[in-house]
Amino acid sequence: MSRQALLRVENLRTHLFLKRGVLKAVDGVSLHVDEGETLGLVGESGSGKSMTSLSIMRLLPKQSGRIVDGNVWLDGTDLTSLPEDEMARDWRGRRVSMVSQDPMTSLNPVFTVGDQVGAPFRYHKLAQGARAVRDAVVKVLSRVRIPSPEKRLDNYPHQFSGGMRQRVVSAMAIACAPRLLIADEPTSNLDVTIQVQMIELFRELQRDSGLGIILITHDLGVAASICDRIAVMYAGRIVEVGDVRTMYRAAAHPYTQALLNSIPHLGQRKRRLYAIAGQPPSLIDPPVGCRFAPRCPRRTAKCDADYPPQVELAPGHVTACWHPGPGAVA
Amino acid sequence: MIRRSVLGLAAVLALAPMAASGQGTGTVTAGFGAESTMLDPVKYSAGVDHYFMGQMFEQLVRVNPEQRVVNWLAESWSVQEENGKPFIDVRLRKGVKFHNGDPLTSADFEFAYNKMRDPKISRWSHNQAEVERFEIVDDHHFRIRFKQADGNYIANFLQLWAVPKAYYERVGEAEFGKAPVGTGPWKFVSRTVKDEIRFEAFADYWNKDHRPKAEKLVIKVIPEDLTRVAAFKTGAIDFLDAVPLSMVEEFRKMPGVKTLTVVTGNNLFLNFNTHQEKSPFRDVRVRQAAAHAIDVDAIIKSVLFGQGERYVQVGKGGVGYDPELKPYAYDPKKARDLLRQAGFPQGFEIPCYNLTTPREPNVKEVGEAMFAYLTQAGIRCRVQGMEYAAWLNLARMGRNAPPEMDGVFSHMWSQNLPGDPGTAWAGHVHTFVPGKGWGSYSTTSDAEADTMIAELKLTMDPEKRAALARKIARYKHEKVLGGVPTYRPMVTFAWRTDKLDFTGWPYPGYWRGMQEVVVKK
Amino acid sequence: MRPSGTFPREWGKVVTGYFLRRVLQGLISIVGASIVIFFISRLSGDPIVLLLPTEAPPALIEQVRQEMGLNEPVWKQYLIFAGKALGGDFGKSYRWQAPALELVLDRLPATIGLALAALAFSILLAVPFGVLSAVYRGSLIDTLGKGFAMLGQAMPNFWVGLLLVLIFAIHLDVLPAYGTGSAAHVLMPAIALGWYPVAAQTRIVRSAMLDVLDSDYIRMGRAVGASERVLVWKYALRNAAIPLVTILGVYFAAMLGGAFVVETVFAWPGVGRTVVEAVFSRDFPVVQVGVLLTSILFVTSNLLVDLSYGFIDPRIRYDR
Repeated sequence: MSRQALLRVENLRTHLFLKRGVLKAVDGVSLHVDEGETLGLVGESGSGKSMTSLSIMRLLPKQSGRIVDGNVWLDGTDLTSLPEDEMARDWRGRRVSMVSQDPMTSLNPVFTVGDQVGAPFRYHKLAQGARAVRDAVVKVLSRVRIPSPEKRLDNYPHQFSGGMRQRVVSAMAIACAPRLLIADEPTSNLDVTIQVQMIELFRELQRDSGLGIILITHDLGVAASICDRIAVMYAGRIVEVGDVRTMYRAAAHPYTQALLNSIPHLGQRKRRLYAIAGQPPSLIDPPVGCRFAPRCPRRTAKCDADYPPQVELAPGHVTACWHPGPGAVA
Repeated sequence: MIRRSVLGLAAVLALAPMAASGQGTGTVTAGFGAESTMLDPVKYSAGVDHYFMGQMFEQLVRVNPEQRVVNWLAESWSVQEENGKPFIDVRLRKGVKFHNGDPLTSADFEFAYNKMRDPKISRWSHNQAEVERFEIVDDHHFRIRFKQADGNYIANFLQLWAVPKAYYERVGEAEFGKAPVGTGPWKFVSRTVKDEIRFEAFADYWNKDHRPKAEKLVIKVIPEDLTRVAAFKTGAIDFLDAVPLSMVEEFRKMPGVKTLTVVTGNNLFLNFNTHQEKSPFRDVRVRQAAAHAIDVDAIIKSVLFGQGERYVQVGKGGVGYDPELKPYAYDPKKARDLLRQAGFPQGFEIPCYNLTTPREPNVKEVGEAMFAYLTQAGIRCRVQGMEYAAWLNLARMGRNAPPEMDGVFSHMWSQNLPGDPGTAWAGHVHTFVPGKGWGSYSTTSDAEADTMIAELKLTMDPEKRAALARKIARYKHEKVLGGVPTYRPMVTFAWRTDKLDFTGWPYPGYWRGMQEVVVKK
Repeated sequence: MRPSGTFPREWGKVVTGYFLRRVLQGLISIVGASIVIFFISRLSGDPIVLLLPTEAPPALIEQVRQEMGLNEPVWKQYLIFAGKALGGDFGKSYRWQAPALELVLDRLPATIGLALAALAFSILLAVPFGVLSAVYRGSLIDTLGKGFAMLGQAMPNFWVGLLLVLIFAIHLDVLPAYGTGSAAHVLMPAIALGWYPVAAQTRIVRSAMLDVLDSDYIRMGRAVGASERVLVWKYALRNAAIPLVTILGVYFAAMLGGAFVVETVFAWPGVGRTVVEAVFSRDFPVVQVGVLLTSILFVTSNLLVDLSYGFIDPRIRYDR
């Protein structure tokens, strides 16, 4: 890699210690994000993509979640080794921040927007005094294109539309000009027009500041439109990663291909949409071999016996499969 | 010359405060368990009203600490007769002043009489029913003329209270009730309902021999027993009213503390439904069985911690007290025999009504114990607890609606202090006569008892009265009429000896009158 | 979405209509309660028997009954009472022969003060306990908190009161055993009275906090870098306060009613004692006034609670 990677995750393992057993939510994930680059992290629910982002932010559930192995390097600092107060003070919300799924519920209903958007400035001491904080809030709200922000500082979240709320949440995330932004399914609950606006906003930010973005989504359509690279996760591991074009034109892993096949096309004449048969395996007691094997059309005995190693098919295109290659288009 | 007069002046000035404050300094802080609702004697309604009233108001005669009735505001009085009708001739003491400086005269007693006989004003107006008129002879001499003899008038300390006519008329009834003025040793200062009442010693009090030696009296109202005890133990009060029965021993042993245990004037007894035709208690043997069945002494000892006095018909020191009369002995075997003789070899079942409101301490527990004894002897009690108002209602005769008093009833009727059974027996021994006021709570009907009790009412001479009362007591005892007497409750007071000296005056005030209390320097 | 009007004016307009409606509802409740109590108390028995001495002749009893108007049919008695009451005359106490209204009003501040102090005490315990129980859920603190709260529900308030008197007044002699006059005087009665609701309030705070701490916006706050302390005590607590405020109104009313036991133990000159004693002595006018004032307080406190939602939860300001 010639460019310095903004984020480097190496062999991350995160376990959830539940009553019914230890859930290996993230089971050896490695990825990197460069400056100004958007990485899409794609997978179905339970694949570990949200857990990965929570691990990077160190926002795992206190009593049950723990990073048991691996490192997360952001701008050369290993986030996993930082003491909690330093993480909160200097990194979380400051250099790496997160925009999560549901804008309707991401804002505290009983506090004003001005208070909540001002919070990151106050915590990270980027503005001192009420006046300075107020100005900074107005500035960042205009950045996310909220009209007449100075008039809306004393409004409450319920007085904003869904799209506006999403912008407010984004404003909170970018307030301190972070280096890395993790957007966890940011558009899933919004209608298409607002989705387009959000995406535009992110791109603009990226152009202006070299912000790195991890976009977590199950929607390949959205991923295609703004990501530079895409990593596909299944059952706690990354099964394929590559740049956008390659992934859409020449995905090599059967799971990726299945995902692509599930996207309905305009003009498609089918009665039933394609869905991948079967269920992901238990993460408490994962199988020894390839985890997708039970649902894979190319399954062989080898797949069940050993977990496939990482294979670099082309520069930047890596997959973990015993039988990679173009698959049948359904 | 000048020096002498200066010294003289200084001496006068030094002594003046002492004289003005009535030869006493210091404050008595007392904690009472209950408070009066009325402060105006013509409107007084219940015994507890005496607690406060008795500090400020006085009557013609009074019961002294030796339980003898002595002349008080009356210098002398006598019962005389004219034209076959009795009258009480009263000579008033001279020089008695009210708290506001007005002198006491006959007109004040006439004023009180007119109010007390008015049923719109007084709840005890029926006590004045036999009085024909009030005759003023002069400022210190008056006569109470009766239509016919009324022994109860004598028994109730000549009824009348010294109330300042001029002052009362000037300020009106409502104001007087808020800030009363009397002749008593304590002068009203202020009152907060449910909290406290304050008095100051009356400098011009007439009785120089028996008077408080203190400057102020504060009575705090603390109904909860333990809180009152706590207030005493922490020194917040110096005089404790109604020491809880279970703590009396502890207080008696407490260093620096003196106690006084006395009877309260109330008399408890068990009554039976002898007015009902089918009642087993119509047979005198069954009543005697009930009397033999209960070990009253044991109950007094264990349930009342010894704070009860056994009595037979009339308590010690009362009119009609007969030391020869002994209570029915505790003899359960005899009780069962009597029941068998009366035709109840297996005993019988009967409802037993118990008062649960603690009008007297532990009265509920005492009732339960007595009923347990009855049950053991064969009179099987179905115990029913009742609170005060319902209990009172059940015992009343002449109601034309249920419930019926159809069994054994744990009852009480005060004979006052030192004790006169006239009113009590008229109420629960004389046959019930609707409209005449006889036997309003009586289940008994005995012609001879009725005759004697009616005669007692007409007997005004104290000696004749005592003799007749003794006769009635004996008769009542043999035939177990008007129920079986059980005990007289006692109350204990406690005070710190390094702060106070206290002498108990029985009435008015029911021992709580601070007639002779001394604050030690 | 409605544009933001200025908060005070908009709120004022909406609240007035709501307020009037609630006041009307409250009035109906109060009148209803007064009728019910009027009838029920007269069913409880005959007050005359208690007022007059036992040897009073029946003629006198009847006369007094007539004077007090108690011989009329009950519905007629009520109309007479209501008529006078509208003019401010609530009759005279049978026992005290003083105006019933004065008797009760004089003692009302003492009881309100006690109930407020007890409420304050209960909140002072319930909020920290509830929050800590939620934050350290499952830990020793949580268990202790739950156990403590359970004790609160198991111990009757007169017993707690007597225990406090025993320890602090008698043995340690640091607090006065009875009466009023200073902050020290109100401390033990407030604790004795406020003890019981601590359990329920703690549970409510705990469960509300658990819900809130799990919410997306708290997660967002954490993601933005807030410290746990700020998250819990500022951002989470405000949300958890809403269910707590709901029951505060109920508990305030409960404390008004339950105060009489504590008032008796501590010789607190309050209205609870006055009304209960009036019930026992069948002092109907005092009972009537007492219940009336208490129901007014109850309705008012509920109304205030409802209005206060608007302060705590801005979402509610507009949807009446």
